[in-house]
Amino acid sequence: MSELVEEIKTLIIDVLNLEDITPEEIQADEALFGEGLGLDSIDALELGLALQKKYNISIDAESETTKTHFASVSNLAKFVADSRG
Amino acid sequence: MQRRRLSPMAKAAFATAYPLINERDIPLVCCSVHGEALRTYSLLRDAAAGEALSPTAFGLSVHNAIAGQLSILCDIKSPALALAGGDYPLQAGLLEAAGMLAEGVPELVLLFCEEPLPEMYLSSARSPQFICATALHLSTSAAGAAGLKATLTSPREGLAAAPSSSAFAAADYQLPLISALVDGDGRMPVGQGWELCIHGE
Repeated sequence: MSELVEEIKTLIIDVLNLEDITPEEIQADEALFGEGLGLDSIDALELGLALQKKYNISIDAESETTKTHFASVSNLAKFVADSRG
Repeated sequence: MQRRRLSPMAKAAFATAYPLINERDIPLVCCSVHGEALRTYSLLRDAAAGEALSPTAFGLSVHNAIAGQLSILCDIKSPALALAGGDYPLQAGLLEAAGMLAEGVPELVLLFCEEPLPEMYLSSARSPQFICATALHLSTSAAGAAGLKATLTSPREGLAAAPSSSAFAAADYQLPLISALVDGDGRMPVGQGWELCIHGE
């Protein structure tokens, strides 16, 4: 799981083109959107697309649980691990 | 945090326009013949390959993306306009700016920017070899105002129009303008008989 967490941190930095941020600086439990890392709704779409491509998972944009999955890196890692089954 | 979304051309455009905007709420006219052609081309390639499109690239591929980002990031609430300008971007941009000034806008920033085109387009348009951006701070003449003067003259009846190349054939259309600004003096055809004269007092 911790490997997946690190992988997702790197993915976030790469696909969102985050400048001057290293994977070590992203806390697994910190908020990704709004506060914390300060990502916005376009980032959410971009990140969702990258996760779908990389892990071949499907994300339901309408679902309330999707919001929870995207709350932090550790939530995303759990979601990816479960979805890959 | 928003800088990461800017293309190299948008960064060049921002770098030239930002000091002229100088933290004021000032109207913008952003002129680019091809806009973010590289972004658009990469989206088209993805679409052709059946790949999902990047939402960021999609949002920023529109022609007013640079004007929009510049106005948001500089907190500009005045009108921000994006023009393509077709064959004669200098004419289009300058006429638009002159019109706004004539209508009572006291000052504005006029921006031109282009980037090298993907190879596929080169059969129908010449490409600039480098990214090029020029920003002008234009205001209606006030007595004793510092800076150069710019005069835009309309085609004169009975006189043959000075020859001017289409921006599709002469992609580096900004260069005569830049030389005139550096020299503090210069006259150039901007298209269809219109002429721009840059001069001192």
